[in-house]
Amino acid sequence: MSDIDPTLDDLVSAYIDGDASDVEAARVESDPALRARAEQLRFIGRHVAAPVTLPDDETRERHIAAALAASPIAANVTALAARRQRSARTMQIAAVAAVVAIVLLAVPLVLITRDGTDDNGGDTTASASFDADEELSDDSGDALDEGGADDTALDAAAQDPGDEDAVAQSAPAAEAEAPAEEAAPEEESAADSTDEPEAGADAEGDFAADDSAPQLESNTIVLVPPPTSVQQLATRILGRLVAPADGTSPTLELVPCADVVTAFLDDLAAELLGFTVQDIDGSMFLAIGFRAETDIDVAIFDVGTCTIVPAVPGG
Amino acid sequence: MVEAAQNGDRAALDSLLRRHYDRVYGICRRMAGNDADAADACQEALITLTKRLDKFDGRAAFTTWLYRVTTNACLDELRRRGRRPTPGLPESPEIDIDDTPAFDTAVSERLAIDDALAQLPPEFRAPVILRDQLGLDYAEIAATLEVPPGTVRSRIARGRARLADLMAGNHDDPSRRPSTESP
Repeated sequence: MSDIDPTLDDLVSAYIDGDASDVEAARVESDPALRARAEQLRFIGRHVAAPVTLPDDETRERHIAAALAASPIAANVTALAARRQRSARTMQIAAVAAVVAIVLLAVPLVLITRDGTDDNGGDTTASASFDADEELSDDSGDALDEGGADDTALDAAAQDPGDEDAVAQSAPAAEAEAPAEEAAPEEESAADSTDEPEAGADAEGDFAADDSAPQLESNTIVLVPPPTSVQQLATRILGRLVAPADGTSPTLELVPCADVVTAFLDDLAAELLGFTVQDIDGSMFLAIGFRAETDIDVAIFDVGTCTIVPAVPGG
Repeated sequence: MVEAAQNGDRAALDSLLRRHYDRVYGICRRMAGNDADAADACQEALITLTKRLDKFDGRAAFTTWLYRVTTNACLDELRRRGRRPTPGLPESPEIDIDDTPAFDTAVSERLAIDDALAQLPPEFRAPVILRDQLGLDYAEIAATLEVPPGTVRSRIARGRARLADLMAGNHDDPSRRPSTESP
């Protein structure tokens, strides 16, 4: 043990920490024994202050990951995400979101029609052309007025007539989209198709299980030629052609919320450069439109309430 | 960053943990006395930190609160294990093959300080570590440990004096382990 009086250790310790009064400091500095003790305590302090060997990166990352996982903040975020997902699933947004995706494509029209000669039976095939120019330059106008398939810019679409959710299902099937670089050739093909004069009858045949028609794949960005008449385009695409079983001319029916979606697109699509559709879980779709590389619009469409909820990308 | 983390910003929380990790581990390493216990104590401290972050009200400096949480987490961990810190060899010593004697000396001194610190009761060990390793002043240590500044000054002095005695004995003969008698 040290011969120093413990009370003097207290004095010396405070002195080396700069916490001693002037009188105390003077006393230490004037006493060789106290100065020596101060050096001893400084020596101890240097050892305690010596850097420790830190754990390796793997241990460090494991510690941080475990702490993050234990955080109630992280738990709240997870819970919120789960609530949002549950809520989203109840929104039944798939149909309109997918339809919007097609609108943004500025061309394809998905037809729902019964094909009595379809050997594929219940197979559902949806396809769409990318012939935006042909479609947009078409003076024939609103499909509601035209009321016929010959005014549509689609290549083909064959649907299971028994599927009451045909629009909702067909649009996701159309879920956007060949890669952008592949769009042009498909447009050529589509142009050829729409040039057919007797589109009414022939188109019906084309709609039936045309497996060779371009299939749209989800999560693919498609470049979209600027539409010239969003109202016209949206109105047409938000409708579906229903071919009666008796062979009479198909009629066009609007999907729910068509007017809401159309109005929304009027403000958006004039500047649209491209879009993508995210198939979240097979029942929910998120439409993302690009107006510029850094200007992205994201919207969720709620069919149940006919509302459009713009969202912040990544938010 | 603290406020963002409190508001649920996971990235901010991640950054906060990374920013203070070394200091948290440093406290735990000195408190625990060996790498294995230090790693466990550090883990507990970080988990406690994240669990109680919403309790931090900003009245004290965040680092003060952080050190308090860390110190208490270390003490709790050591108490849970029911034993005093056990000095040990570093698990990953940075060996310089061209300077073996220096390494030997460094390891010896490190063992000595670890062993000496292990002899101190926690109420003396904590203020010495907070003062000498982190450089906190008496007021900050008092706030961290929630004891009066006068008590901090006294405990640091007694802790250092005990360490000096233990280290001096160890330095007389490096092969001789320090006494394990209680202070």
